[in-house]
Amino acid sequence: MRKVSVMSVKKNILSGLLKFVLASVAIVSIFLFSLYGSGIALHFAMVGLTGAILALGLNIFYGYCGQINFGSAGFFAIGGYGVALLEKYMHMPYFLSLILSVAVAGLIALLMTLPLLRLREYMLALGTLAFGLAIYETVSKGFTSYTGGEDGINMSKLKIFGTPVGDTFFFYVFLIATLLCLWVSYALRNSRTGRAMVSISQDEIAATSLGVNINKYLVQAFVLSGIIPALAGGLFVKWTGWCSPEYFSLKNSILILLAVVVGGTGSGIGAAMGGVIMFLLQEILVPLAIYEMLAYGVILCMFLLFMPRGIKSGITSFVKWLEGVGGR
Amino acid sequence: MEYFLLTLVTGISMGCTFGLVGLAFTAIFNASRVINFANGDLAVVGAFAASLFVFSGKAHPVIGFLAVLALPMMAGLLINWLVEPSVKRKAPIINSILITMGGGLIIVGLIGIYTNFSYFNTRYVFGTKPLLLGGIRISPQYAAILVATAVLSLAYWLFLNKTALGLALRALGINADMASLVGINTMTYRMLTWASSSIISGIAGFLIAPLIVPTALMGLPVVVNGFIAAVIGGFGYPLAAVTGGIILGLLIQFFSAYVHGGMAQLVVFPVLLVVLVFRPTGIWGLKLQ
Repeated sequence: MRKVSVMSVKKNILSGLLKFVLASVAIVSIFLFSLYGSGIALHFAMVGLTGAILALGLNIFYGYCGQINFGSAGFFAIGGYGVALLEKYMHMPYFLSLILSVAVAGLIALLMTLPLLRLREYMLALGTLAFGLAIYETVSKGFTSYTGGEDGINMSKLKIFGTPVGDTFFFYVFLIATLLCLWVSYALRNSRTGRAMVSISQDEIAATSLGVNINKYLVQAFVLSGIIPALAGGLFVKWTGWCSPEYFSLKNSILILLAVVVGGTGSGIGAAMGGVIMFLLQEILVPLAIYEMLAYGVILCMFLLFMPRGIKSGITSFVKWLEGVGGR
Repeated sequence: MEYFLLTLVTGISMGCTFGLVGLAFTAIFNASRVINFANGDLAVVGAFAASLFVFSGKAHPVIGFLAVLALPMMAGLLINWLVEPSVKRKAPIINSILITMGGGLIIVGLIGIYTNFSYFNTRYVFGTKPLLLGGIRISPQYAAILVATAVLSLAYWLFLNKTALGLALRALGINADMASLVGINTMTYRMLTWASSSIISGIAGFLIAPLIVPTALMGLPVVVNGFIAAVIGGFGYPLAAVTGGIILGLLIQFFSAYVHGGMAQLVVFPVLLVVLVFRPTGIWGLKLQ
């Protein structure tokens, strides 16, 4: 018979209570923030949440499977331009066009796996980089009569039942989308599929010898990491009301990669944190644009050299250290 | 016909600059299996050093040219210093790629702060009077690019295949642990490779600077095209990088001259995907096997 000590029951109740209190505080503060947060605070929150969704998307392919992908901004662009073009030329309702462009992004990702997943390591880096650049060149220089070239496409205000909605509505939409992606990340990580993906990142040969169908799981991961950025793109351009090619340049692909590295590769909450941090940093650095590149370079090198597992593991080990101190 | 020849010469010369960057990729890859994504940024350093010391005409030409060699070399050694720990502990190759990228961002960021991300001053240092070569008129800048590419790629090929040092470098690339067991000082040799490769990138930047409008941000197209050149030719072979570069340059120039000016860069990516899928060893790779 297992003995359950009174202490551990107490500890469980305490930690459950703590989680409940924390969750309620978070929900109430989010609610209050959405009601009373000023315009600029909501703006920053939305940019941060976009970053979180993008980083969560990349995390599945880069963090779980350990494969590099420089093409995230390409899928971000497919989502954004899909929504914009469907509205401009087909006058489609927004949420329908969002679903459709996310589906198209998934389909394109599925097609791109045919050439791209034959490659590994640096060749995969180059292939995905070429994909991202090709999408960027197409929307910014290629078919300028449709996409408006560098000027982009202006979008109408989103209306629900005839009434235009403001930032508060979008804040909730972004929040729900982020939580959805976070849930997908967690559910995936704790499933058979997710474990198979992590085994690929650790050793492909060992994974194969255990019966993991590498190609199948990489295709699934790549399609997921195409769909999620496309969702972010569709939401982002409708919120800003302007679909501009500059959102989708290679700089953003690098920023997304940086977000995953900073947050913590292979961890859902870590990637989300990294996304929020990096995209807020980018937004804050707008007035100091000339220092932007230097800042990214320094952050990238610092994290890879001194904290290669990201902020998430830094916090975890800090908490462990605290517990150790408290227990003494 | 005149237009065709002009396009041909321009394509080959632009292709040679891509080939030089591809050569720089190859050099580092052969010695340490690292892909240096900062190669374009080292070309920016070359162009920047040239605009400070050569194009401005303030320094003696010899000193100016030495600066064009020295500054990219220093920048390359800085990146090597950053990437060396992860090469040593055999971290996943993604880490070293990202670190070279971060090092490139630092260097370009510093240059960008200095120049405020505006254009560098350039000048045609080799003159502007066209040279007549068998009825074809070649601008001296293009001729300089052709000569420099031929000399550098041949010299590198000879160095790698005909000298003891080159043999040591190839051994280092194949298996660094084995190489160190037979008495090759891996760290020094990697530094040597980085220095020479950075100089090649810097020279490419110096040569290409007057032909484009160089800014601190010109590294990206240079690095992408250089890498694509190396892949099309066959990764790991110095002369293949140059042939790949020439093919790429001709493709871009002829497409923009005869089909569509704005979409020239776009045509490269489908070609790259086709090469990666159907002949990942490159067009030369098959011959060398």
